[in-house]
Amino acid sequence: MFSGIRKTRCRKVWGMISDYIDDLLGAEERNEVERHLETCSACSKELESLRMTVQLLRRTPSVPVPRSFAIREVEAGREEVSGQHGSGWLRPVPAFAVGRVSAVWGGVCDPQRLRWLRPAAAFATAALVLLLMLDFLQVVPQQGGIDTREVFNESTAQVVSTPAPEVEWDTFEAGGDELAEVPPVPAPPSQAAEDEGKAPAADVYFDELTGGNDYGGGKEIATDTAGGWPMRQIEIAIGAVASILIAVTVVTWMRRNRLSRV
Amino acid sequence: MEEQEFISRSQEGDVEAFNQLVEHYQRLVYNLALRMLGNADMAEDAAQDTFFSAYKAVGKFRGGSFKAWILRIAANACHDRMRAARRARASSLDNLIEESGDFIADNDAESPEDYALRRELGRFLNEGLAYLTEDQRLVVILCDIQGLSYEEISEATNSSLGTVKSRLNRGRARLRDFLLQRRELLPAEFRQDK
Repeated sequence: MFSGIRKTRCRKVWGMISDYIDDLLGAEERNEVERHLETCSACSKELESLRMTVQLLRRTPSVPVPRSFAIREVEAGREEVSGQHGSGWLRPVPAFAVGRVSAVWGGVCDPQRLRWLRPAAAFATAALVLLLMLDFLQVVPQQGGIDTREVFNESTAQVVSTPAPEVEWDTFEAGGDELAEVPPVPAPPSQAAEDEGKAPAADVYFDELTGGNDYGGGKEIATDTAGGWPMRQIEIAIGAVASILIAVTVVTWMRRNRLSRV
Repeated sequence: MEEQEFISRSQEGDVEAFNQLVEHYQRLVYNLALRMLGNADMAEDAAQDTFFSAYKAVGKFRGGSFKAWILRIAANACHDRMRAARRARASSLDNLIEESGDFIADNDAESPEDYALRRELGRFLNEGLAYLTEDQRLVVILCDIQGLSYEEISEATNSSLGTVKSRLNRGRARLRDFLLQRRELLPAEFRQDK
């Protein structure tokens, strides 16, 4: 029982011991601590060791500064320019005002005026992801040679391309097999001729096929540019916009954190 | 009174007036950064950051203790530096302490022995301070090394008086434990038995 009371008193004294060392206790509390210290050797040792620690800390040498930390006029001026408020970044930047670029960047990153930035960055990122998914699934017809069907034209000995047949969107959306929905490619005239039993001589066909000795001569590849979307360009553009918006968001967020703590 | 005048002029954009304040507080700020970070280069950067931030924000200063205000900015700058160092995993605080030790002779009258002892004590205490949590370290430095009052510390750390006392109690006790474990490294007058 007594040890319990003693521990309670010790705990109370420990709570006041820093104030006692720093001489911040009132007369009554000070007397209470001193009365306890007379009878409690553990608390006396605690006090002595703490007092020694504080004395040691107070002897810690103060180190002279290695250089002056004064703000230079140039730095102060630069901060004033970059920190100025207003709608400067919305105004067109004259071509000759290269020095204004940093000021404009500072204005762009002003956290107070860019509440729209975070949702805009999120929207641009979402749009980019959606486009990439559509592109990956090849839902959207693309520009380029992928949809081109190359066939040999016997009569002209040229390789020509037949545009991919127009396919109704509904057939894709119905989820059917894409290949099954594509209408059959018309057979080349030579094949048609063979079917009719009018096959040309094999060597003549070969010469015509290769365009004489020139294997590449007279080849002409036509691509389908009508109706396709320039997906790659759109993705790159949206990606660039999203990257810029995210970068500005991050810079703004960092500036806001710094300013709010000052 | 004079300080208030410098503050007012700084708020109007007078760089020279602000530099008078820098001159007055730079040693305090640099020493806080040095004790917090344990590295002279990082402390130099943190001190410069502090005065830059203070110059930008001096217009928002609304009275009270300018010393506590500037130390609060310095504590934030130190926190940023520590976080960056931690994130970069460039080096632990222990390593930083190994790199520090730029305890330049304070005056020409100091003997080489005294200088060596002071340097060793500074290193040893830096090690001990690194043993504390960041919050405890800040309060112990401000109270026992910089000599701020509890109220000023409360203002500088943006915490209540009770929190300051609690951190100080725990910080001192923890530092005491560290020192007692390395009693042989203490100056002779402190090498008493527990």
